[in-house]
Amino acid sequence: MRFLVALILLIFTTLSYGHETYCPQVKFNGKKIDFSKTEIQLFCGDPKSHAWKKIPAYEAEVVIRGFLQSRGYLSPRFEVKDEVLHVTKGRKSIVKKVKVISHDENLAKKIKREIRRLYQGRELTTSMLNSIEAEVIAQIRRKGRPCGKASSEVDVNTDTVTILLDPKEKHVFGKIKTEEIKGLHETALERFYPMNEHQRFDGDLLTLTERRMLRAQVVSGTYFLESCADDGKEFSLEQRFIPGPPRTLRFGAGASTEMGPIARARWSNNRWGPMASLLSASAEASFREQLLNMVVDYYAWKSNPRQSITGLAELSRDSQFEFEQLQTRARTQMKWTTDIHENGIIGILGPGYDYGTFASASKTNTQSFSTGVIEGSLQRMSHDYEIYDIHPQEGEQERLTLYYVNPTLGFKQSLTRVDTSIVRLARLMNSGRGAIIGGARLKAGTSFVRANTDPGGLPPDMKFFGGGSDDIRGYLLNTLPKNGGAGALTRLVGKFEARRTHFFLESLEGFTFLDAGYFSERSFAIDRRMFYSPGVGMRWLSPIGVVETYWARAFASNPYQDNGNFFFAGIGGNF
Amino acid sequence: MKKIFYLIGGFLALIVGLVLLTLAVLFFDPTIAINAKNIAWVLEKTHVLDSWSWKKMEIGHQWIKWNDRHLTGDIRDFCFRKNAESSKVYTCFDEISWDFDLGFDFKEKFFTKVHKPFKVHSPLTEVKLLPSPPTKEKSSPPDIYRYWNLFWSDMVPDMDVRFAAIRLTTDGKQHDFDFTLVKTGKRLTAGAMKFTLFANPKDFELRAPEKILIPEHIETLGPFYIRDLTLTGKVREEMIPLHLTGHVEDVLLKTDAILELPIAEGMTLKRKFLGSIKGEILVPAFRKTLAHKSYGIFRELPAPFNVLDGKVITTFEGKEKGKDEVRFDSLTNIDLASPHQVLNLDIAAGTDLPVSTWRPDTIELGLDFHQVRIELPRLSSKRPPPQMIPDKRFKNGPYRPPEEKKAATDVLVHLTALNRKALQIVTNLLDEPVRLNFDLLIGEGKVNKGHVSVLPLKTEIFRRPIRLRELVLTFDEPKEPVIKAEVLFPLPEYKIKLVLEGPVSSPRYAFTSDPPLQQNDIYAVLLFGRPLSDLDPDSRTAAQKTNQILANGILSLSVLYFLAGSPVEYVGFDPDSKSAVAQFGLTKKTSLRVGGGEEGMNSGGLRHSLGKGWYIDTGVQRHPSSSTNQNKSYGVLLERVISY
Repeated sequence: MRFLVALILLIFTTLSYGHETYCPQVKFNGKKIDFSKTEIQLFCGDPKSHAWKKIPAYEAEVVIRGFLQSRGYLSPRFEVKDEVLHVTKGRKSIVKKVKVISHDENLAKKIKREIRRLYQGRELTTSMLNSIEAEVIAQIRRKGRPCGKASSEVDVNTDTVTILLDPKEKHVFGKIKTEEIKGLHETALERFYPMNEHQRFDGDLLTLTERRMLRAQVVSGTYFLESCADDGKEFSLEQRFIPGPPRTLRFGAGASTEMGPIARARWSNNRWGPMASLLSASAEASFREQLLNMVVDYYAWKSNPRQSITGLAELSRDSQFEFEQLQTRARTQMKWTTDIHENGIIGILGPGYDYGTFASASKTNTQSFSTGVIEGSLQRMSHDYEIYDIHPQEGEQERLTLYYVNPTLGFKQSLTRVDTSIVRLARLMNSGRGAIIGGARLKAGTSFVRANTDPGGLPPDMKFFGGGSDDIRGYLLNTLPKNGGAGALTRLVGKFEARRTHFFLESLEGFTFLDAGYFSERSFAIDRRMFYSPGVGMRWLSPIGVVETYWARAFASNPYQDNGNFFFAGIGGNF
Repeated sequence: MKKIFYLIGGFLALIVGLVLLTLAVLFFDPTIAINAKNIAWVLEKTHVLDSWSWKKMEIGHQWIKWNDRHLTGDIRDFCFRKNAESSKVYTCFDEISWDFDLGFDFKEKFFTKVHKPFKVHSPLTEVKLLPSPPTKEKSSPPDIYRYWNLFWSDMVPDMDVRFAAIRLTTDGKQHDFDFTLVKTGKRLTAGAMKFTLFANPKDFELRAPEKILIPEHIETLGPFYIRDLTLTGKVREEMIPLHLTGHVEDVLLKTDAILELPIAEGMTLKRKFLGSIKGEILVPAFRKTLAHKSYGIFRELPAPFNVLDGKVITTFEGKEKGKDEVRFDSLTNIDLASPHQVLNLDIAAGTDLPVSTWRPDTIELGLDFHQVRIELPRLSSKRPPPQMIPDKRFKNGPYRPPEEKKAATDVLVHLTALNRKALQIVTNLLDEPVRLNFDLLIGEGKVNKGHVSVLPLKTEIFRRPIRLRELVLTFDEPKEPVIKAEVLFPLPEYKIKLVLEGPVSSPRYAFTSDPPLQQNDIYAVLLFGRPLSDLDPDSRTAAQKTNQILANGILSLSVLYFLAGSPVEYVGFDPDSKSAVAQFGLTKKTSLRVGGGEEGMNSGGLRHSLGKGWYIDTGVQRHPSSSTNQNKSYGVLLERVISY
């Protein structure tokens, strides 16, 4: 019996730790490695390729060493016996120790701390080493050192990563040489720069500049060329563009049993005039819907490229089975942008005019309104918030919007709609390879109207609604307050969220939240009833954007009400 | 005063008289002075030799005419030992003999008539060279041409010199060899260590042994021989043109050089000699040569080069440059081929070599690709290529600061490939080879200036045809290399152009289209075959959300690449409206779109391209009305997009 047990153990041991043969000329000792077909062809030879049919043993050793390094096996042993290459892959390596060698000891300490936090315990591979070097470079570029260099070495015996950091000198951005775009004034694109020439270099601000330009679609692409000379003592920047065509025109015609004949045209110019102003117009027409829209953001001042006049003219008619609505909107506003102390600030203010008529199946008499408006907004967004495309992880944003009408301007009563939004995102602590991020958003707004005004009699744009993935997450979109769709004159919503980035995977994020909000049908007052929903969820920062799923439980107080579970899954996920 | 005059005059007359008397004695009967007894007496008194002996020494003389003498000599078993400061010599001669007439007339002056060659036969000679202190005195270089002519003059008789065994000891190493020298009239044959010299007054030819074993410290798989090594030369008054030929296994070596006469001193000699060198090395069967004799890594080239075979020719030339330098240039043509690969390129190398240090400051290297076609390994289209080259950053020991480098020779490399066939890379991922051109200047280990360009390419990636119109990588130190590429996607309805431009570490990309679309729509067309805004005309929310994702650059080129291979052209979901849309390609010009919401599938449509920017859209949508009845709406849309 003992012999039988020993035999079985021996067989299993041999199976587990025996020789793995991919081809007669290469044998691996130990557990099987899941080499890809391409990899096996590269060390065993590819019978289907004349050029790669035979791989000499020394070449097989070279490529196998590379393949093993990409899997974290850094100290393999090779031996050629009887024209057979025997490979012992050895142990897997992880980042155990990090050393940073630099003449700037303070900087070295900071970098070491951060690299240890991000990488300690992770599998040591070539791509990991590249990632470490890239992270070090990114960090010193944020500290004003564009010419810095970092290289690394690993002692495979002790799994120690040694980073050789040569930070070079600090620089300011300096005068940026820009490629000329035909027809544009040299100051036209200055409004996109978050920095000035005397400001200390920060690589992130170059990225932000690019993103601002692409988001505005003023050019198809842009990039900076950095030049370091004299061992990093001299630094210069050059910006180049992929201008792309500025104008697009599309039109079409068709028919639908629901809409009748349809005609559609759309035109836009994202680089209009010498200051790269924006101009777009669109028109759509069918029996049921007609829309005429023109938007302009006109930069008139060459000496002040961050000041513009924005305009909107829109005429729409919507003739549906149950209601008919005609709307005219016009706006002429001044717009200012500036960047101060790592913040981007946008201010818009100006008059406008709204005209509308509407009739419904239940109220067949046509009602109308015609009023002048004063509308404006002020927004501050920190650069570290703005640099994120979709899903900011740190930084601040505040936004105040103002909408004002009164009888003098033509509205039936005086109404001032003030809406504010304050967002704070902060890295609270590091946790494993990720971080715990705390987020808070406060949405407070009210429409000042005379007492006893029925919200149901006001246009939807002048009121507040709640619920949805961007608001109180346990409720459906715009279903709060639950007053039959009349909306609220005051809203106070607080959203609190704690995120754990690098949640099992680098691209996953786990979060828990509590959203709560008060509404009221009166101005500058809140009802006692609170709608709130705690929940947990997960976000996947996928290549095509944030994919979010969460579970929330919807409650209401005064009187207490449990509105049940709410599941959400979808693209997007704006906190 | 007179006494002094007579004393000096008398002394001079005595010397002249003694000289004349000696000459007269030697002329009429030299054996009076030169005979065994006198020679032994002189050797003993002068200590020219430390010890000596002979069995027999006969020196003969016969009177033929007043101006013609017959001289003979025969010395047998003559041995001597000489210990000098720089050498120790011990040798024995079986025979030293001569038999010739020596005459004089007023026309030809001295003349000889040889009856038997001057014979020197030695069975054993031992020479030990001792280390000697360097001498400060500069000896003027020998006048080779004069000595050469003197050797062939009538004064030098025919001779037969043979040393059967010479043992030369130097630096503790023994070298055993023989030496023969036979001069017969105007022909000379000499030999040592199996080298043979044939010469006449105008030419000479030095033949090496049939096989010379290359020293064992050069690691080769088996013995490595130089064969048929022959050095020929023509002796002229001003110069000796030399020509060397030989084979190193299959490799043919040919070299010409000129040795100027009279031979210059030291550096000048080196400069002039090296400055006249011209040569050629021919490897007729490259693969065979490598496989037969070379060792380890050099035995066989790595794949895919190990199947290449052909010839390699190197020509080289030296030219005098300045007072201290020789310019060396070489041109190597590699002409190798295999069934699917070609490697035909020139490697030109040049350097200014200071003859005093032998250490060039720079080496210029030029690689000119005439036709290179290389096959890449078959790679999977579903995963990125594996890491084939080991990362040198992984080291077997702790970090050590680098030692201060000595001033190294800088290698300036100029790489050029400037024709359509210059460099072609064959890969299974593309339908046709990638053709590359480049013109690069490399120095100090980095590319300083130049460009690499990929010539226009047509291929299909995951069922989508693409045309690479241009791809140029420009190097301009100290700026980061810049890439600029233009890729066309000739889709059924749109012609989309991808411009890739920017620093090579992070190039930016932008799409333009014909008919022109906004960036977001172009992404959508690439992915889904149609602009985003048309995907769901009834729900702008979905389009806006996706637009935001795309406009913010979240969508990467790699995602586009992989999605393009999927049979599903688009799947979208809008969380707010809870509606989903999927689009499938039916034919190259037609696609089917279906959409649905919480209540199930409720819309469908066909889109067909009419060409030149015109396309027609048909659709059906079922939507719940306020009543319980359901309505279906049918639509058709003809759309045209204009570019300007």
